[in-house]
Amino acid sequence: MSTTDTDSTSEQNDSTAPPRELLRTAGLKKYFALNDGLLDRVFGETAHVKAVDGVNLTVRAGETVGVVGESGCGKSTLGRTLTRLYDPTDGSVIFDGEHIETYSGRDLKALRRRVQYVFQDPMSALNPRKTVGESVGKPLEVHDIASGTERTDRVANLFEEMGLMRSQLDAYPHELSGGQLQRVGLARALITEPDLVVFDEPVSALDVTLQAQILNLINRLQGEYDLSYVFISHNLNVVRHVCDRIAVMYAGEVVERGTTEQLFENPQHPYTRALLRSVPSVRERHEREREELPGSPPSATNPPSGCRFHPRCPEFIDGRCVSEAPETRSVAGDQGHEVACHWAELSVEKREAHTPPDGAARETIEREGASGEK
Amino acid sequence: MSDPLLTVEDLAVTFPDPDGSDTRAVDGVSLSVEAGEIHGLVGESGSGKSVTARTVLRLLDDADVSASRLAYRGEDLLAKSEREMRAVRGDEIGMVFQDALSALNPVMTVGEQIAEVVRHHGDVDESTSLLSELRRKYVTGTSKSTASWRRAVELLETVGIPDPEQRASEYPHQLSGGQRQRVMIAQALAGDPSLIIADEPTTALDVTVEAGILTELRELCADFNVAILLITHDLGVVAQTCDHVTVMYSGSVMEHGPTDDIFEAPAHPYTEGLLRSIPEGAKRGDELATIPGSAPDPRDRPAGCPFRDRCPEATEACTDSLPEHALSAEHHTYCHHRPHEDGGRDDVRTSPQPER
Ligand SMILES: Nc1ncnc2c1ncn2[C@@H]1O[C@H](COP(=O)(O)OP(=O)(O)OP(=O)(O)O)[C@@H](O)[C@H]1O
Ligand code: SF4
Ligand SMILES: [Mg+2]
Repeated sequence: MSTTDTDSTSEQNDSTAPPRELLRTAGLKKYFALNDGLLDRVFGETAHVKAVDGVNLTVRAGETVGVVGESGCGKSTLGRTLTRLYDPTDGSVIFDGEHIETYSGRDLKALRRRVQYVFQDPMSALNPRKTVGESVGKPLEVHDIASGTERTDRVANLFEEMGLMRSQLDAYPHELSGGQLQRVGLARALITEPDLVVFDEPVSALDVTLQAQILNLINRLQGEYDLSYVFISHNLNVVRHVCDRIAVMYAGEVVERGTTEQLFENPQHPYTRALLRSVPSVRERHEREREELPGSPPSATNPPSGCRFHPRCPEFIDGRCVSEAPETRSVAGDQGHEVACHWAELSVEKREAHTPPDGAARETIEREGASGEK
Repeated sequence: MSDPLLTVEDLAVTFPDPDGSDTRAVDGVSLSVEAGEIHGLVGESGSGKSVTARTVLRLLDDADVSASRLAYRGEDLLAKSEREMRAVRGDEIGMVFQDALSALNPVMTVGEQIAEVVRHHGDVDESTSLLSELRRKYVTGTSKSTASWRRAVELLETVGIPDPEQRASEYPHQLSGGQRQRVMIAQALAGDPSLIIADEPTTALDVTVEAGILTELRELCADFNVAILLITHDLGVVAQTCDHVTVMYSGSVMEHGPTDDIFEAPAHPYTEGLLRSIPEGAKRGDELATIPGSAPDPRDRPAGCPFRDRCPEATEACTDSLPEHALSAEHHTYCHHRPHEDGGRDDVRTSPQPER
């Protein structure tokens, strides 16, 4: 399959009008300064963790966009930056037509009501010395939405909606089980009736039967409250079940994006393909061997040159992979599917004919590529 | 069939509580591990998997343990002294934990940590007196020309660590999570054990890395005839790695048998529910099958079948006992209503969706 030259999102050319765009990030970056010694700081050589490094992400009204990738690739940082829990280092975030990357003070507070972030560990978002009913009702007070009995009623109703009991309003976090805490976390996020909810690994810590209960709940709430979701997860089986579209992250960048079907049926990037081959399977346990991805995760302070995946890539072509960062391009004939990889740009015949250079040849290319680069 | 390597029969483990509400973490567990097999012990968190494993190694000293049999190679483990158990732990049964970073010593190189185990349990002719170990530890380090060091490097290579010579001289924090987990496996192998107990060895790892570690474990089984008791809550891991599976729920075994039987013809309502909850193959928006409710409190577990409050088939009979039924020589289930009276089985699929 060859690729066309358009590198912008091809979403505008959809024949049927797509739903309203709720969120769009462009070139979003979040760097963290490392705490270096005094000398380094004096000489301005502070190293940075490039946790998110130029991400474009679009979320349309009513849809669920998945963000997947290895531990440390920047998923959570992306989620926190686009909800403005972190200040972006660069790039823009447009929410409902407004640039929110510069919001502060009152604007930011108003935004918090409409955009919610559900933490990986629900315990961390709850005050251990407050009853969970108080914690869930707190945002109503902060945003002047409701107080007194109205507040109590709203919280109690939402508790029931979440499959919690009214009697649990007075429980403290430590008195609840993992699944119950996750429901409380959801209640806390939904109490302000937001438009967008970012879930950070909402079911990763749960056993499979609890996981199924929570996933069903998350799905049901989306329809009932007309919500848009960003769903961060490393579990591809879960993502496949929950998401309309998916972005695959590697070393702070999105390397491939498309509909869930495009990514699972027609993965283009060698990293996406490796990820899919490594997923454990109950149903295909005899048909398919899981494959590991060799090598270690990339350094976040000093990511590999060229294509950041090149040291581990099973398709590695030549010096270009080492010195030239591949551009994001649309996959021809597959509307809305985008990938950033030199190999994926080759024709099917060329891809099939291609044998990656072996160890020694590859090292030579790496050396030359690295020295040829400025 | 010869005697199993490890036999556990009717194991009960209770953590006494001064308030009187004792926690009965394990309540009548039986399982057996054959030489050279990978045996999966699967269950939700809190179901008693780790407590079972730690009891086998006699690592719990604040618990009341009882069993009609707890034997390794026919020897009663409960009758052994602490000194004898120490020998068992290194030479016979190796251990791999979920969190390698806290299980490894942060101020010793990984090669040093493996070499130490080699000297104590392996077949090398080097002094293990306290004095010489202290000298190695704090002054000289293990000489790179000794047999124990060479063996350590070899073991790192066996578990798939690239550049083993160089890696051996590095500290745990310098390695990636997957590499540290491999170091733990190398260390467990250093005493030439016949059984390795691996407690959630890949739970903290990415799937891309996990796949490699599990392949490694399978190869070790085949190449060195080591048996592995693999503890996990991940059914995908079990399905693709284990020969036999024991399914635990709330301190008790619900079902055990060959992996194919468990996944293709589960006999216990709990196992069925578990398999149906897996989102694999489910389409966007599909309602996933669930088991309503949650597991009982181990301080206050009902008599009879612990699953009965959540079981769609529970009857009065389930409140007083938990009978065992053999579906075949190897496949057993603990349930009043399985197999069904007419002898037929439900047609159970492992996901809510029919094959596409
Ligand atoms: N507050 C921070 N200060 C410095 N570095 C950070 C901070 N938060 C994250 N990082 C670094 O940024 C990178 C991306 O981290 P992030 O938490 O976004 O990854 P992730 O994809 O969510 O990983 P996981 O799957 O393990 O949750 C990592 O290298 C991490 O160590
Ligand atoms: S650009 Fe080159 S190194 Fe990167 S993923 Fe594609 S083929 Fe592999
Ligand atoms: Mg994260």
